[in-house]
Amino acid sequence: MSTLMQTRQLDIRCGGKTLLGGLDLQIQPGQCWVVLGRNGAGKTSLLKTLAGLLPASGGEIMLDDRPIGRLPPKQRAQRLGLVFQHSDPGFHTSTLEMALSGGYARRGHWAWENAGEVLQAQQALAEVRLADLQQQSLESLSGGELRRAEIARLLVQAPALAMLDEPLNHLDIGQQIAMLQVLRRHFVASDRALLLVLHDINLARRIASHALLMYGDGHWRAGPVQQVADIHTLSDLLGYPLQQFDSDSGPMASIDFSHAGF
Amino acid sequence: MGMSQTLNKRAQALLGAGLALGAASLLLSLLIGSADIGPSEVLRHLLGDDGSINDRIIDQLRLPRSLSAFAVGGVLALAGALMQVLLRNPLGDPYVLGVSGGAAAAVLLGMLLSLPLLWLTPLAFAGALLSMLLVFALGHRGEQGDTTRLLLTGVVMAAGWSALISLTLSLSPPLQLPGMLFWLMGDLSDALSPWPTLGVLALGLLLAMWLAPQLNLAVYGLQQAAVLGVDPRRLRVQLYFLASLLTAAAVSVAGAIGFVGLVTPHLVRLLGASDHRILLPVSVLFGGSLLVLADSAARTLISPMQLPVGVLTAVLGVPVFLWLLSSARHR
Repeated sequence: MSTLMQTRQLDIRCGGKTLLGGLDLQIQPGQCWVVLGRNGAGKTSLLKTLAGLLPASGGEIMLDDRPIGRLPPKQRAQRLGLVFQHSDPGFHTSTLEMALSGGYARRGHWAWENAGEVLQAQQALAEVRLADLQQQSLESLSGGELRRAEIARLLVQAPALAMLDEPLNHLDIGQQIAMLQVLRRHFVASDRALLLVLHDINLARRIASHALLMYGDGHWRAGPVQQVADIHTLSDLLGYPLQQFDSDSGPMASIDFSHAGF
Repeated sequence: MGMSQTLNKRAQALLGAGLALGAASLLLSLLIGSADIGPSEVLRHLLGDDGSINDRIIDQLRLPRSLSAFAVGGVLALAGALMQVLLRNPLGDPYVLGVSGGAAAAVLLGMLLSLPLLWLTPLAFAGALLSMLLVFALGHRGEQGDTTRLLLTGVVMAAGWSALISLTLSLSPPLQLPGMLFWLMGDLSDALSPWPTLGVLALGLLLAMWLAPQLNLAVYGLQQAAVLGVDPRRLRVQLYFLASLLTAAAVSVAGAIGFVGLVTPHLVRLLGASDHRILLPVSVLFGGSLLVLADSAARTLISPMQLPVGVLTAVLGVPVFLWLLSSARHR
């Protein structure tokens, strides 16, 4: 199967500081990647760079074996999606309009959204449990509802590689699991892949097949999650002692509270 | 398929209201004036030519002026709608980036130097163009999607032009001052033929409609639009130049008429249009109508004297806008 995305010797620098040096990454269809690292390690910059929104400081990013910058915007949008960490609805639009906007890259220039597309957007909203709020204006949504509306738009966009920057922000535990299920169902498939920035290491280790650890000083580790995301490596990465214990549903990581002082 | 399926009732109602308002305002503007001409007579003069005084009043005075007003109002509303998306700021208006300031400074300098009247329109356009290019060159760097820098550059440039305008006014002989002030407040009495402006309006609307699907994405931010398949840099440049050129055209015809460009797109948004394929044409119709009504009032309220139409647009626009804003609820 062909590689969806590949980076070669990718460098990311920000304000004179090297965040990531010489990254070689291969994302294959069917994989679920999770990016882990401390605040400011460059996770968001990495996602924006991979999406072609920020220039790389060095190296190459290939999407479908073509340099990302060479792809026409509409074609790129059909292959690659990104849900930002923060969003601002801007002007008054409805939840349904937002979901519909995901289909832009597939529409003809003068074409209006047809009934099939409206139905598809409504189904996406139903999947993220927003069916009742489709006529609601975005400004009136809660933080978690807005997050789910963005995921609905991603489902409509249906890219081959879906990247989400902390998609579980603002979501309660039930919604976190529900959204991960939706994302898995849509994007961890034979011809698609998922890349998530997460802070919950238990969810990360549970859902991901692969992990990219970013140390924020240029260093990185990437590979299958069992190999690179063991408890000692994660303690070192996140700069806080963690411990592992066995639960009924498998090994769980926990903060070692003996150092917390409370 | 096609428009009808998703062109919902609200959009149809808005387009219908805009068309009706446009027709009604134009007709009304032909009816009122110092010469008393009834509706049937107006229609007769519009359709035929009987060589009478009234015929000439309709065909050569009122109609061209009303059409000019409509075109300028439409252009300003369109420019405002585009500027608000470009700056992602509902307070964006055609003048916020200093385009009108450049035009005004150039025209006032021309008046101070007693240049022929015919020069003033090209002079205004040149001033607007100069300001536009300056702001673009200085404010258009920076990160993708960063509009703060552009906005700040424009606002600072506008302040600079404003100082130059004040300087020119203070140096001008008292006899020239009223003419200058009128120009500053916006005035349609010098508008000659409406056709060039109507042409600008038609072309501008066509180009804007071409951009409309991308504008629907740009409201979520240019980076988000880029993720969904828009070239953000190109869209920003296209938006900037289209909005600025439209503003320059309006300013050179009628001076700096305030409020139409700010209030009209806002009003149309508050009435429920968020799709730019609806919002843009409805804004044009509403903006044109607003200026036709304001201009009719400006030339008749204290006739034979004329008021600057910019004062009237504010007097009409402010209460309507405030009322809409306070009665708008979250849906």
